[in-house]
Amino acid sequence: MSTTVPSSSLLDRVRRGEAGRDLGYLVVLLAAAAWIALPALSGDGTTLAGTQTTAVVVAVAVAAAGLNLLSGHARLISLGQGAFFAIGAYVSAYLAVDSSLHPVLAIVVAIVVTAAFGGLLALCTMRLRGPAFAMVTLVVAILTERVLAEWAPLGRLSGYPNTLDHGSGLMPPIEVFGTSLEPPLFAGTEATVVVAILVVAVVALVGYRNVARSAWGRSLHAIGTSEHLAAHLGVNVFGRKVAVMALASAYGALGGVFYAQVFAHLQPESFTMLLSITMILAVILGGAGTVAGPLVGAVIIVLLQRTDALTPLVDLQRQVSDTWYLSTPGLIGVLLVLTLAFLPQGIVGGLGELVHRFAGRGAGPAAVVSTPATTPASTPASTPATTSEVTQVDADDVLLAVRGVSKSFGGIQAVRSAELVVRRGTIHAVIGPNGAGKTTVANLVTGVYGIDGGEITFDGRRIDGRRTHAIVRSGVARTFQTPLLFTHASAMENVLAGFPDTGRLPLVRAWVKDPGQYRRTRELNARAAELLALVGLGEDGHVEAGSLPYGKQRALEIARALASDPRLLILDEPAAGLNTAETAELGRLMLTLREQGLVMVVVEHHMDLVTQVSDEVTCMESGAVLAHGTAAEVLAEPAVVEAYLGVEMEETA
Amino acid sequence: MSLVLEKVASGYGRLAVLHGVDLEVPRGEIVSVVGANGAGKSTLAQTISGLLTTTAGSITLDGTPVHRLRPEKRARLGLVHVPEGRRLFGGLTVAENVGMGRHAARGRGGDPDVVEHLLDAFPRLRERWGQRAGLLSGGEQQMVALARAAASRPRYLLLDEPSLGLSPRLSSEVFRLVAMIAEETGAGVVLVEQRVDAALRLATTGHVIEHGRIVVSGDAEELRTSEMVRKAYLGV
Amino acid sequence: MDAVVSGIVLAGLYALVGQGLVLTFVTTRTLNFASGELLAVGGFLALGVGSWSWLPTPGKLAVVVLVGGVLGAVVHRWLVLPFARGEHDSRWLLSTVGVSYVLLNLFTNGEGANPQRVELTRNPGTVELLGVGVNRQSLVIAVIAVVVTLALVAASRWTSGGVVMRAVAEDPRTVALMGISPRLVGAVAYAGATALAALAGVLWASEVGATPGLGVHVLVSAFAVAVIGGLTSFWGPLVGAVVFGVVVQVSAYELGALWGQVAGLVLVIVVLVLRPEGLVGRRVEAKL
Repeated sequence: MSTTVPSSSLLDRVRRGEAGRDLGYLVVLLAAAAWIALPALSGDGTTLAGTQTTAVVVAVAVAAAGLNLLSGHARLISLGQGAFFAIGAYVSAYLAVDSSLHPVLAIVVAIVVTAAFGGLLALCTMRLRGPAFAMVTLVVAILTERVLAEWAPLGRLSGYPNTLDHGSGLMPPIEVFGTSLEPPLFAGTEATVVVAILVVAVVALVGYRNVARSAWGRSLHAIGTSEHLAAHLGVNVFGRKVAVMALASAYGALGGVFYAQVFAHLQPESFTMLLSITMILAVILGGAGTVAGPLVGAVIIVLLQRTDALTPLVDLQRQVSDTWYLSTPGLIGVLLVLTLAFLPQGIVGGLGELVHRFAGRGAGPAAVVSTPATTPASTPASTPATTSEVTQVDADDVLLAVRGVSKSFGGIQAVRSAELVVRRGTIHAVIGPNGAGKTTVANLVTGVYGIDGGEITFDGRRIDGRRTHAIVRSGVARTFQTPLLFTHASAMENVLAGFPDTGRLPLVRAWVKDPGQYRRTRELNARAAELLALVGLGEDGHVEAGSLPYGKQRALEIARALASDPRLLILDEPAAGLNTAETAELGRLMLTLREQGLVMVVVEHHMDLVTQVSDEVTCMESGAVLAHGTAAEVLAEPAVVEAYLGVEMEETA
Repeated sequence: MSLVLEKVASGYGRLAVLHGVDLEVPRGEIVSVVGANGAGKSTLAQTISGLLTTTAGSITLDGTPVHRLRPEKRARLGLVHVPEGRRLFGGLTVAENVGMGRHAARGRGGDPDVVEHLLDAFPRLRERWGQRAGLLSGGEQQMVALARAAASRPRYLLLDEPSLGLSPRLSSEVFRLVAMIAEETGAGVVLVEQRVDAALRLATTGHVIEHGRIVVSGDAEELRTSEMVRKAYLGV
Repeated sequence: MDAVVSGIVLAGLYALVGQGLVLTFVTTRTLNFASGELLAVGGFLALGVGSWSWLPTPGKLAVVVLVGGVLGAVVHRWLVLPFARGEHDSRWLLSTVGVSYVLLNLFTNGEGANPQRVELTRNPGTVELLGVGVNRQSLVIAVIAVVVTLALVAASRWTSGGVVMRAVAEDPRTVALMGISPRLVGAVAYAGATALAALAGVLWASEVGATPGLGVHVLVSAFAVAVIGGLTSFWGPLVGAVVFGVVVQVSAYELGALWGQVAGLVLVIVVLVLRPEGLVGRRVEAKL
């Protein structure tokens, strides 16, 4: 990775920026925690109800935070977070009371068990597309509700624990270090458990934010945007979806554990389907995919539900009709629909948009001032062995070899025994009329589809049959026919997503955010700024990708692809939609990259560009290779002219 | 009696592709719009049929403004679009595909139904009549797409790259079918093609589109032999 | 054997609701998560029209089904269409969940949570089937489910409306080019699906009484059934429902009612692992 770094004053600013923001978030959390804890510790009977409510807010906020990673970032809509909340609560209580496990151990086991259950469920359902995942989570939620209400060992409607089975309706308080953690249930007793809950909650929420803002969180965002794209960023999509489901379930369980500790008793009525809906609403109302959104949402929803804030609305309706009116659950439903209709980005998302619009500048870690275009230092200086004439191919010389590859969809043979041999140090253009199978070949190389026959080798190793993220990790990057960008994120964020960290950063490191992460962030920011400058976007780092002009969007995609430090870059119609000046610029960029040793395959129609940059050209038509050679040779080939222009060779037709 | 575009602009979301296109297609004539990939050919076809919203300008069909209508309304008026990549219903049989085309002709009398005639001229279609369209070859699929369009009894026909993915030999058969449909239905045809030569041979008028603007218009035969078009394509 | 037969018979109810899910899914790629509550609405409508002595029973039934259909079209127009703009927009899922809570709450406040006797299509008693006493009402529902399935399969194969439906399922944009409004097709599908739910509601409420929560568990089972059978084929709900019904009833017989339901969930998961497209769904590799 880059060793040339921008000026140190800039570095300092960046570092101070990130650490400062992290500290600010921590301070806000601690202040909120103190605000909750102080009345709880007074032992004053009048504060009990308030403390219980704020503790539920904390429990729901933690569960909603986990759900946000799943449903907000990765856009896997779960209607079952309440079930994981309930499982965490009941399992921790059951292990402590019935199995006499140490309560702290019981809590840990409960969280692990719930996470494992969530992960297992994901493992089984993640191949699904569309609403099936939501359907399965709903089934789980309803069944959990039923098991709690009907299964004898959990006390059925008497709740857990209950006097009949356990001699007491309350769980004994946890004893740690000689202190008893008392719940906020009795006047005159300090609700010490609230402090413990707040400490754990602050840690959990810091970890949540670390994940959300890390490369790991970026990979979730990529999955939510397009799984096709995520895989091409080196993300093991399947594995990551399972992991995020497990993580979300663990957060749900932790919320449930808090709930159990606050009330020391569990009633099945508290864990109905409505709880799951409350959580997804908290995420959406607050702002799905934003860090603070679920926390804000949880505060609002829980207060609406547990205080009499909605009473005036109910009374108003009852003045009209005393039989047909909506009370809290119905009003929550209305609020959900209204939020979806009028504030789909949520409160935090909406505010962010406003700030963005009026301040006219981007926020976030990516707001780095672009550095002057330093030469990217990523390249091992292998001299490009550019020979203009196409001669016989030396095996060591070949980076990518597609040999005899075929692929059909339904009755259409999209590719038939295609041959494409790409040599090191070269730019290889693939041309041919629309529908000739060029993009399909690109998709076969990166493992989007399996091949029907033939073989594909990269750097001497077979890659056909391997999954996209594995192929990408071995050094292949690509751009797409229609740019696939995070349109609502800054250009900088888009480039950052291209680094291998997106697929490779372990969850634990993302959660803990060790000092090494800060260093890495600085490195990546600097390198991303270099890449932006390289493709001519030096001034646009903070601009929302979706609002860039089309030509710059294409350039941005190239910068993102370069971030993975690939050995082979596949460009799918990079000049489509570019004007003449932009096309010329693109050509220069490609030549620069070739000098640095990057091998490129470019699928292109724009003959000016092809002649300008390519060392070799392969022309395809109707799924098969028609001609191969230098640009001049191929374009002089009568069959190519015929294929392109439709000039009929036999004038007798 | 013609399809008229005046200063039509459109695009995808924030990306503007067409910038003020003027085009006139008289009934019974074939007009070819040629241009390199990415020049806006498909966008033009999709804008005329209503798959994309017209952001400025107007489209009138025999004097009726249609640019604010939904695509299904335009199809009912006889503006029939054969989209890029054929877009057959792969799970439906050839017969059912052609039957789908008939929906657009409902309640619109007077326009000739030429499907039977096409089947006589291209017996291969009749052989495949009961088969699932998804299992046909590319050339056969394109013929079914054209037959489906013919079943809509078109007044104006928009053909988006009918030669897509086909070999020159298959393409010429497809173009023969296009010519036959045009002649028998008397429809005005907008032929959007990248195979310039073949497209211009078929047409009476030709237009070259570049970066979302029509840059050259004229007699198809003159365009076909001009150096300029060749250069736009091959860069030589 | 008892359990197997009663499982098959019980499957009818789930299949009927599941059929509605398939109907909207193939045409619009969306589902109505408020189907359960609309089923309950059907039950209450039956209660309401029950007192219209001037109208014969088939007329009353028709009124309920018709109102159900209109409600379906309303849901499609106001709660699905505005929330399904493009492939990545799945807000419809949550908007229908939201409305399900509105309905549930409205009816709980207005009608109370206790079951109310519905007389409209009551078929009390049992009949002997394969040596097993089977609840007559469940049998009626099962027969209707089979008839509806056969009718849908036949219609999708041999009527022009059915061909349109299959075409919409494949490619709604191109269907518009054939002069057919995909929105209209969607509205019709929602109307049909909701009419089926309302019909199921009448029949089921006649057996167990009308309650606001009547549909919650039916919908959950219908979801399970639809996932097991596959959301893309009209045979799916029927096949899925029979498998699901038998597994649930047999496990319930052996382990108790609660674990029967859990076994149903396990079955869903097993099917998802082995055949994610469902037992009778088709797996296709599409070109992007």
